[in-house]
Order: sequence, then structure tokens, then C-alpha cells
Amino acid sequence: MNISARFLWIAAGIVAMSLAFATVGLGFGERLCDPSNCRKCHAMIYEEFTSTGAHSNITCIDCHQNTDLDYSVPISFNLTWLDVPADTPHTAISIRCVDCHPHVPDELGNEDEVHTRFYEESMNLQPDRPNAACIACHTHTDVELRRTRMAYLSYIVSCDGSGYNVSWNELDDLGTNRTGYDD
Amino acid sequence: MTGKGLKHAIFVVSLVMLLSVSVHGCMNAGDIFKTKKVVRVSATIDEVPLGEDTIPQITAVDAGVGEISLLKYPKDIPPNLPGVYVHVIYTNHRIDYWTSVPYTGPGDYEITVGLRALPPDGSEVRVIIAVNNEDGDRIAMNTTNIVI
Repeated sequence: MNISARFLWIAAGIVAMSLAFATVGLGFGERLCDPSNCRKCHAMIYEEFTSTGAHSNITCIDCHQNTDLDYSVPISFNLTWLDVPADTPHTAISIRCVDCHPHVPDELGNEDEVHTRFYEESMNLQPDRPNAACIACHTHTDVELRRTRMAYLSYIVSCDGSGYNVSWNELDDLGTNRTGYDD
Repeated sequence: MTGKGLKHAIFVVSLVMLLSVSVHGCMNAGDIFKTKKVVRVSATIDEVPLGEDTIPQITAVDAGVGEISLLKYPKDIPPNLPGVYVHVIYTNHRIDYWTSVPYTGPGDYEITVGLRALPPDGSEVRVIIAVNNEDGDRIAMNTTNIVI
């Protein structure tokens, strides 16, 4: 083989390897980063987040990271030969809403804050879904809510001859005499 | 120089140029000398009893700022489950690349986190260290604030 032919073969090899690396790299990057992959299964959330609200300028991977290897596969696909768990949600790591909005727990620590009890009960009932309380009101995503109300208001009323004295019955305030989450 | 020697010289020079062009597509030569800020976190994790099980507890956190060459700059890495994760928050935004190391039990963990966006010098950021279990659920966390 003469020197020109050898040069052409080596040059072609280098160009081919460069193209292969670039293609593989771009392919993986696209697969891992393209939010439209999420859209296939989470269309409603995708549409809401990309079209409304304060989060429209961020993407799914800003808050979620998934393994990208164990996507669930409907049983009807009959892809057991792939050894992919069927009908199990893919594992995803999520940051918490309060990670970026740390003032919220501070505000909820105020006993006069009206949402404190809702937030705390949500955390107690679904400790593995710490964002559920935020999502319930701040997105259109469906959540299971059970609304409660006080069973009655409790007053202490006395009469001293010059009129009625009315005050809250603090012993009965927000304690036993109200509907609960288990009612 | 003989005709054969000249051909060899042209061959070598052409090959080097071709390799240079090819490598140039993978990296910017200037990046060799450039550095960028990272957040370095040291965390001590113990395990405390919870009922019949134990759960991790991040008992000590130390975070600081460092510089790393752009060639070795840490970016998004695949998740580790269970794993120790670090997030850096600036003005209500996550500015870190996804970074984690496998959680292997109590001990000291060192994590270097790359930043997708650099806040202005002297800015205070919130650093969150969390342990996520094999399901991706957060089972322990601690935070600290640093100026970068």
C-alpha cells in the first residue's frame, strides 16, 4: 500500500471515529435531557409547567432526575424478554418545593398561618410525598383532598346584669370538637 | 530532502493536523487553563434507630468553594440509589449539576458539585445535603449556607 492510500485510510478512520463519538455523545445527551421524553407519560404536567406559572422557564430535570433505565412498561407490551419491571413507576429523585422556597416552612411555623395544619397533616399522611401539599393548591394536578371544618364554635357566655360577656372557650378551641381528617 | 522524505514529512504533518482538528471538536484548547468554581461538601452521616430499623442522620456538614479545571469539571452524573445528594440553591433556583455518591452507611462523605450557573461573587447560597433511599425518597437532610 503506498503512502497516499495509507494516509487516506487513516484519515477516513479518524473522521469516522470523530463522527461516531459525536453521534453517540449527542444521542445520550438528547436522551437524558430532552423533556419531551417526560411529556410522553406526564403530558398534563408538562403542558401546565411549560405554559403557565413561575416555573415555565425551567425543565423537568431541574427538579427531577430519573434512572432512565427502568421505565415502566405496560404488561400488554409483553416485553418481558427485556427484563424491564412491568407496570412499576420508574424511580425518580425529586427536590422538594421548600428546597428552593425555604421561606415557606418559616411562614408555616406561624401558628396564625391558615395553611399550617393542612401542610402538616399532608406531611403526616404522605411522608413519601413531601410536595403534595404544595401541589394541591399551586398546580392543576389532581390530588385527593378531604375538606374538613370545625364542628362548632365554642364560646363562654356569661351575664353579669349589665350585659352578656362573650369569650372564646380556649379549652375547646381547635381541639376535640372539630371534624378531623379521619372523620 | 529526497522525494520520499518529503512525502513522509507531508504525511506526518497532515496526520497531526487532522488529529488536531479532530481533538479540537472535543475540547477547547483554552479550557486546559481555565478553572470554574465548584462547591465542595464534607458530610458526616450516622445512623439512628427508628423503631426496629435505623435511618441515616447527617450530623455534620462543612461546605466551601473551590476551583476545578474545565476539563475535569463535574457535571450531571447518573443517580445513585441509595445515594448522598447535594443541591445548591440561589435565589429560589437550583444551580447545581445533579451530583451524588453512593450511600454505603455511616461515615464521612466528600462530594464536589459543579455549578450550572454562577451567582455574582460574594453571593450567599444554600447548600442542601440529602440521603435518598433506593426508591429515591429523601430520608435525611441537612443544610448550610455559604458565600461563593
